[in-house]
Amino acid sequence: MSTIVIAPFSNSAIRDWPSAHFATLIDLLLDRWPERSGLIRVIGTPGQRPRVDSIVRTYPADRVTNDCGRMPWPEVVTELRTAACVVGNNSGIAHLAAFFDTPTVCIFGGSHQRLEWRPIGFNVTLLSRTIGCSPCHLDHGASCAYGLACLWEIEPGEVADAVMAAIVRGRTKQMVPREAHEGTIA
Amino acid sequence: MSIGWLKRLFAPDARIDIMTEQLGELRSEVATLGQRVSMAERDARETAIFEAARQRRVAALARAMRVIGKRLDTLASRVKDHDGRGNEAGEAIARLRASLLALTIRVEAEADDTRRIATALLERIAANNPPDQPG
Repeated sequence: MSTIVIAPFSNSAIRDWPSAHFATLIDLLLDRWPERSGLIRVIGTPGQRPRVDSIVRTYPADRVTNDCGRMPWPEVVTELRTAACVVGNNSGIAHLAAFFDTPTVCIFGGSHQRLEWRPIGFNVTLLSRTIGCSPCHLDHGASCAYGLACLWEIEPGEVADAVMAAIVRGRTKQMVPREAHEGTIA
Repeated sequence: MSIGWLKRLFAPDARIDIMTEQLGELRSEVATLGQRVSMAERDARETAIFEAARQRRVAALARAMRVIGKRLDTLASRVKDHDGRGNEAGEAIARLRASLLALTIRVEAEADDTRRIATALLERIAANNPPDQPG
């Protein structure tokens, strides 16, 4: 059994995919990730625990766990190494998972240049939307005049598809074609 | 590699002349890129250049390389149309491609934030000094 690890928060709100989308994503994954396959673990800091509670509270605790603040870093590292897939924003977790060649889906906001800052790895799928104001280089979500449109426009269904495809590639040890790093960007 | 001999070789054919000229331009662009990569590497080693600025320079290099790579592809396909007399030019293009590939590998190593970030994070975890925020 392996797990899907989700890290919904980075250290800057401008890079965070909306919590409502994460909740919908978990909903979709529960349908497509059989119970026998393993848990969906949501990770983060102790301070992020209440926010993650609001994402996972409607899901069965035996399938989706809020592990914020429960896992020491070495355990996080082990989990990232062995996960079936890691879903994260433009954050250290996504970089770390990519570094371990774990199947990684990175939801990359428009605030930074994706070609410059994307996680690089054997099995990384980058999902991003380029809109007119991108890259804005803003640091705070509250400063965005367009309500983080670059992140809201990335649909949970699209991310769920990417997760399942990454898991299949991970099992069969297929590498994401180089052009797909850019090809999956709309 | 002398461009003159290529010109003499292809003198009767104006299109080959143009291609030869373009090849010369590409050669000088690859050489310039090589200098820029060396400067970026030196800066990374020797000076405390602001990280974002360094990354922007690396990204600009990568973009320039993609453009040159595409131009080499176009040129190579045109040379193929002149099989026979285009062989020498084809070999010159192959050599330029090899130079460009070597430069690309150096630039990608500079741009690999994943390796840099992950290594730093793992070192901090090993030293029992991890960041609070896993992001």
